[in-house]
Amino acid sequence: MASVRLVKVRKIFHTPRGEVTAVDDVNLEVRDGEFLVLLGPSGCGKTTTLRMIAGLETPTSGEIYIGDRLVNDLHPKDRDVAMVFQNYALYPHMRVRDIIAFPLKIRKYPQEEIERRVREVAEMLKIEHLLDRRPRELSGGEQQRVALGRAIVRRPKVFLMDEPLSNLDAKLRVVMRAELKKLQKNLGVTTIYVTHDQVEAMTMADRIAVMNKGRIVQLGTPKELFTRPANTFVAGFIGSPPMNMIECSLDEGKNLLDCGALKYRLDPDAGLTLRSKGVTEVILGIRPQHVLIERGKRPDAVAQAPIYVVEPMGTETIVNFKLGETMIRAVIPADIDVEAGEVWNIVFPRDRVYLFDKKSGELVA
Amino acid sequence: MSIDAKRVLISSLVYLVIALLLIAIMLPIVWIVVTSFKPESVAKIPSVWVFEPTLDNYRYIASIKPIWKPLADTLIVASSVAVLSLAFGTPAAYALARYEFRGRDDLAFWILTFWMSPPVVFVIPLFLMFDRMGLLDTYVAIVLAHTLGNLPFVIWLMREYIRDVPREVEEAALIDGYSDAQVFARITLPLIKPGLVAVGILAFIFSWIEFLFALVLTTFNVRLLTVEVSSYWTIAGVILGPMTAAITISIIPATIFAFILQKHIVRGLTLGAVKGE
Amino acid sequence: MFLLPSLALLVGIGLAPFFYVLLLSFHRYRLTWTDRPWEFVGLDNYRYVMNWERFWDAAWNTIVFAVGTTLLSFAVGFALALFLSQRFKGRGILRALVIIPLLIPPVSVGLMWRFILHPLLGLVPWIIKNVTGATVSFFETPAMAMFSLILIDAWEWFPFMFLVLLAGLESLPREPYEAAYVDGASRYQIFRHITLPLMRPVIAVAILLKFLISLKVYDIIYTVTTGGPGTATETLSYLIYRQTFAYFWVDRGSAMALVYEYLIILFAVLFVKYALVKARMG
Repeated sequence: MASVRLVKVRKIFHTPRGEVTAVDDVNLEVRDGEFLVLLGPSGCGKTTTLRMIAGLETPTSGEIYIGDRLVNDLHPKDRDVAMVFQNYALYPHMRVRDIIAFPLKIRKYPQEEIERRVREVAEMLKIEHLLDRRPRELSGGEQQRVALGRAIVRRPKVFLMDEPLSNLDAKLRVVMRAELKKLQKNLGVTTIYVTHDQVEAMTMADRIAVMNKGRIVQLGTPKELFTRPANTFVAGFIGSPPMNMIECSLDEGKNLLDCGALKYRLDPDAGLTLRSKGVTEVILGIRPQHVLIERGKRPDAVAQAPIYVVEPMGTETIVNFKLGETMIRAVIPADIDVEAGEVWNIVFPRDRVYLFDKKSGELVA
Repeated sequence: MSIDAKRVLISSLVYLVIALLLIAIMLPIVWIVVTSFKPESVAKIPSVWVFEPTLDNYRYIASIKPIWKPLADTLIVASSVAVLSLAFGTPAAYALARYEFRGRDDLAFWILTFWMSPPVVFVIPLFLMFDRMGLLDTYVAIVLAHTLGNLPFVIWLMREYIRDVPREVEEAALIDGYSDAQVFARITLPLIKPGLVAVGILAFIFSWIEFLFALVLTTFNVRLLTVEVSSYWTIAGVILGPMTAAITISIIPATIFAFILQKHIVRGLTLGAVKGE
Repeated sequence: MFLLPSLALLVGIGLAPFFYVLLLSFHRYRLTWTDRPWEFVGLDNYRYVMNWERFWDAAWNTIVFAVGTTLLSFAVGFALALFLSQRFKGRGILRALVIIPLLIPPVSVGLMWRFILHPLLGLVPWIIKNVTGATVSFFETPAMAMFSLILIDAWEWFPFMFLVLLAGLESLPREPYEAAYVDGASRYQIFRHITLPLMRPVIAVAILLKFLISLKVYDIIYTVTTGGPGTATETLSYLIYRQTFAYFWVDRGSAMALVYEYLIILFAVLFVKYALVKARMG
């Protein structure tokens, strides 16, 4: 077991169209035994970061430590990490038994030890009956388990996983998510897991590092990211449906946010904070789950508007309002009957509203 | 005429033309093989179709003007060329397929220009250089020349096969504990075995049928089949019957490999520009 | 590291000879001059070659030959590819049979045909005479000799066209065909409006490659006509070979070889850069 530490790690790729900074001065400490998820859209540098930890890419600058050891110049085989690839990368010419045994064979473990461990792992993953098959004779889920088996069998210091569930169908993905999480807790091996799926990240991670454009934009527990998004990027990326974001400007005299078709009255503290930081252009964020709607008139309503589209989801219903150019979504229980065209009052509870500086995107209040 | 009858007529005409074409295509080969079994008295008369087959012509090339030496030499040279082309070409193809470095595509194109160049451009200096080194008429000279001639297509083709191997499989092996060289030898090579076989056979055939280098770089110590075959019909005259027997021998690999190579050969000849599968 | 061995080989016996020829082309030197040093003559050899009618005749012959054989082998190869891309029993065997000519040594191909087209010994003139009563001489006049060479080369190389085009046909998407079929297009219309446009890039590649290969022709000239009658079928490769190894003018041969090489590479680069890109996009 070991911690993983990245110090000002940077990676620049040279392409025919010029230099591309894939990873930009990333600092990160992954604790011993932790399940850390690197989350971000495609091209944000998360996979490159993982590949640098694995030793498949060399950082342009910066330092990578596994435990206390600087591994920058260490060959992947000497880093004692195991990796699970998106498309599993099973050796097509070997049988499952040999694929799982492969890392041990190379390290010249005694034969009985290899057999014992392969049996253990196969049992753990319930793939004993597949040991004599070849990869192409396996289903996607079975290949996935074999790929995990190959990683587990070695008991490495660190697991690296690159979107390992993304090639599975939706149902299987949910099952494997839970199993993988349980497995990681039982084994207690430090795990770095790359994904672009926020649900996967939220359900599995101890901590999440959200990446965008080569930088880590927020690091925290799933709960922290959800309740205290540090900026508009994280706020928009985490949560489904995504957070409503409305551009507003501060009306100095009246402690009021002018957001085009709707007006939002600030609580005095928030107004003070904005003024003290010199922020006048604001992005108001509120999660659809927190938007309240009422038929009857309310003094604290930010707007009164007709329903634009109704999207029933089964257990809940998403209601879309169109206010000028802005769309506002609200999630309401399915037993409330709503219909397009009806006029409702929209309420933003004060303690659920986030205010971001429009210029920097950072959370202000 | 009804439309149906017209359609039947047109398609039977098409099939007739195709059939005639196929016959015309196969006829020369059949005629040569037939002639090689004709007795000397009728070999030169095209109107004789029925005769008592004889092995005289094959006896001639077995003893009077023995084909054994050219046959053995050609086998030695073509096999060495196949092995060497793969040995030199595959690692280069691996580097060109897997490593990122400046000017990689230019290098690949430069290698391709060797394939476009007429052999006569290389045969002149190679003759002079091998002459100076005392290598004329040796296995070394002709094997090197043929290997050089094959390298461009071997490299381009193996590069295609290597690109078909998922990069992640190699990376998984790196993490599981192999060194770079081990990954190449134990993971990549086994996975491209079909490609190696196909390209090896192509390299063998290209050496087997090559003529200009053989003509200029070899004479007595090394004698290749194409040069031997060409010597049956010169300004001095023609030894017809035995010539057809020698030609028959020279086309044996073609008939064997045609069935194996059907698919792979396309990639080979177009350097992967058109895929065969 | 992986590149080194084969780069060494390419440089050693690929690039070195190239510079050797380059050097040689600026000197006066004959193969028979064993004890005389090379004599620097600047561009003399190039001047000689540029003003030498026989060189340009050979260049013209090469182009006529290449165009002829490329078109003929394309026509035959495409017809067979269309035919053998259909499904029927025995298709595999036919496919294998028709590629045999490609794998035969060109020297054997040349002699085979020289025999079969021979006015007295040959099967083909005999058949023609018995069917039509006409006497055809395949190698007597310059035009006939060139025609015969094109015929022979096309016989050897149509399988190449066949294979490339067949691979192209088999990699075409199925949907446009099904759509056209549903729309009620006839077989000819499908060929004209679906197959041809979709095949354009493959056809361009096939024709380019065959044309480049044809420009290098040597073996069958040597075995069938030796450039004759006169110099009517003398191609560049053959002319350079004769000048160098029969008349021993290595210097002139080198200059010609380089001009030849550059013309080919220039053509290839231009074709690859423009025509191919156009075909892909059109």
